[in-house]
Amino acid sequence: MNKPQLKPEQHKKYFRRSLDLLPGEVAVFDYSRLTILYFALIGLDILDGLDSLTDDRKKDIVEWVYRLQLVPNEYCSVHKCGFMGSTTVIHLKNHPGSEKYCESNVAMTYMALCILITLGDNLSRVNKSAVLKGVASLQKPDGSFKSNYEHGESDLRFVYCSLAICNILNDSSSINVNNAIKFISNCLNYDGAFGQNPGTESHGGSTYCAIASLSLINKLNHVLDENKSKILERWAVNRQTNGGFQGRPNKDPDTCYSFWLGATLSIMGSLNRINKERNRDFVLNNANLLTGGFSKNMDSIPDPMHTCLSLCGLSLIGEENLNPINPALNITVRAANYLKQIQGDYTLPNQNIFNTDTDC
Amino acid sequence: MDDQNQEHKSDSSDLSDEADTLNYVLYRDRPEWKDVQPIAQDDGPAQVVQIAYSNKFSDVFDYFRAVLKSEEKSVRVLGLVTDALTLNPANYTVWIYRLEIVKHLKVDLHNELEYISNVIREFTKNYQVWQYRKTIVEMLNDPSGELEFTADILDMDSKNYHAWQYRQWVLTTFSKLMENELNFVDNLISHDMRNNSAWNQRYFVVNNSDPNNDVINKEIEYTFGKIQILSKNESAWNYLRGLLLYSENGILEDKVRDFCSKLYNKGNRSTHLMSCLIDLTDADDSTNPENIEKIKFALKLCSDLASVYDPIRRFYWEYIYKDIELKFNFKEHDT
Repeated sequence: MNKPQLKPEQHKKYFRRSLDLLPGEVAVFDYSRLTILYFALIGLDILDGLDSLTDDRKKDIVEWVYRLQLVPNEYCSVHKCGFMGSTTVIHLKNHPGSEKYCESNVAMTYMALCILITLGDNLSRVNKSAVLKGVASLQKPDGSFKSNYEHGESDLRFVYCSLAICNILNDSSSINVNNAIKFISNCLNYDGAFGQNPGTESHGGSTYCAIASLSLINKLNHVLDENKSKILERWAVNRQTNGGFQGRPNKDPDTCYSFWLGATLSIMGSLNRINKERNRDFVLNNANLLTGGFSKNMDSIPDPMHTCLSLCGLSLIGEENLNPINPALNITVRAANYLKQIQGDYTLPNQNIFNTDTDC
Repeated sequence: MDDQNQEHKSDSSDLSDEADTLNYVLYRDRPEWKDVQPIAQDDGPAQVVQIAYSNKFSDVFDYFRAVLKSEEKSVRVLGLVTDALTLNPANYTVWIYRLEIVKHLKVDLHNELEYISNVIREFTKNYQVWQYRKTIVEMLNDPSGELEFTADILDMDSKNYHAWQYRQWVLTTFSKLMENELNFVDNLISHDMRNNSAWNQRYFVVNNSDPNNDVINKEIEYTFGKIQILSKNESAWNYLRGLLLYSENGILEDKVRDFCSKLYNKGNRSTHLMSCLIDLTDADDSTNPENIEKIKFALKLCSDLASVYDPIRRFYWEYIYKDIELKFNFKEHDT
């Protein structure tokens, strides 16, 4: 049987279509359109396809993202600041009394920053102190973070997004890092991996959030000693079934876990323990050769998230012609290097900063 | 003409969805909404990740934007919000506004609980619907129907992460409900021994009960029993290892060693059994010369796993092989 081949041009086309217009069936993403933008742009960057967007188009996208920023003013208190996920209620931005309904979301802020960096924006128009205060207002006494201020749920996903924002903006002084570490430790389960909240089942996605978070604050060894690392490594390697990765024991494989678990192992320095070839075949076999894009499995249709994360997973295992990614921030290494460069411009000396080095 | 109409009606009654669509009137065509000026989505000058919204979606959200701005909290808005949530249950601001209306109109919270139950049945894996349910149950301060409800949802998919997470919240918030949880879990495991979510819940219950040695020993025996039926089940092996976190000797517990040796000697070659036997050697730090045989056995297990029993993890087992060699400063020619 012929080995499956990556068809970069098809996937670039898929992302470019997603950047323009999406079918009505995805209206359930109406409130988080920024996530689609994030997956399409990070995916294009991995495919080395950002050049296929004109400078005007890139500028349009940057402007569209900046419009979603909430900055402190008489209608918006600082704890609601950051980025919204879409323009759905943007008409309330400067409307008195509607603060409850017009607020940022920490996952959207994280993605907005990644998009801006990826497109070469220097973040000069990000109100950094407001963003950081907004993030801080989401931290709960147990150390976790909520998604958004009003009735938002809290779990490891938003811990990760918060720590990633602090890492990107090079300032963790507004949040309680020790409490965040405590929360992450409390999510460590009896099987050696992490659940979304203390007590909940270990999961590839939450395990990534835990490991990437700890790596961003250089506390990986603080929570995982040698023995715990070994157990987690075994748990993660065991997720490879039939080629692809599953998110939990005894579940079916899904292309996105080639990223969630691949990145976890990459950050831990253990990616060489997996069967890269079988993983590659599984992911490539879920590419749609007609429309471009990747689906989660053979029974599904492609979507931007699985397309981006499939490419991230392939990049991690060294697929040719794909740009390398930084597994802890989930942007390309190129974008992460650019971030380091601009951080020098906006970080004041003597500030309480994170080390942005990851273990890989 | 009449006959045709007749026929048309009976056709559409079989297709109730289609009938609903046919009878649906856009808000902009409803006389009772004439006083409201809809507000179109303001996407700015650029067209980025646009969605080709249906007429219905745009119409409902144009009116939603208008009432959100005017802060109208009325019965008709409750209906509008219900339509908006059917179209997009992931819009948490609509849920926030719904709660405001419910509080303002003093809607019977039991009715609201029934409403959210129906929505969850349709969108079982959406974060916002479970979060809303949590808020309503907190306001009611009555969890009496919650275990049954989550059991219903888990009956549709026994690994639904949202349902399990919510169920754990119910159990820890209203602690008296924990009593029968082990029975519930038992049933699920009996039905599907590979249900990792059920094993996790089992650990959650045991761990929360501050277990003594007797409880742990009983659980170990229970797990041995399940492993004997299905030795390739990673969930049960992980659970066993989890229980051993409670024991002073950990994996070196005599009964675990005996259990594993017997299983292996009977010819069982489950990868998890072999992995456990390797760890038994690895955990034993004594440098007793008789260990050489044990080390050789562990290395043989690694080779067998890499080449025969678990080839997909060949590189992993080769790494464990080298790790053991290194740890015990062991080289084949030493023997």
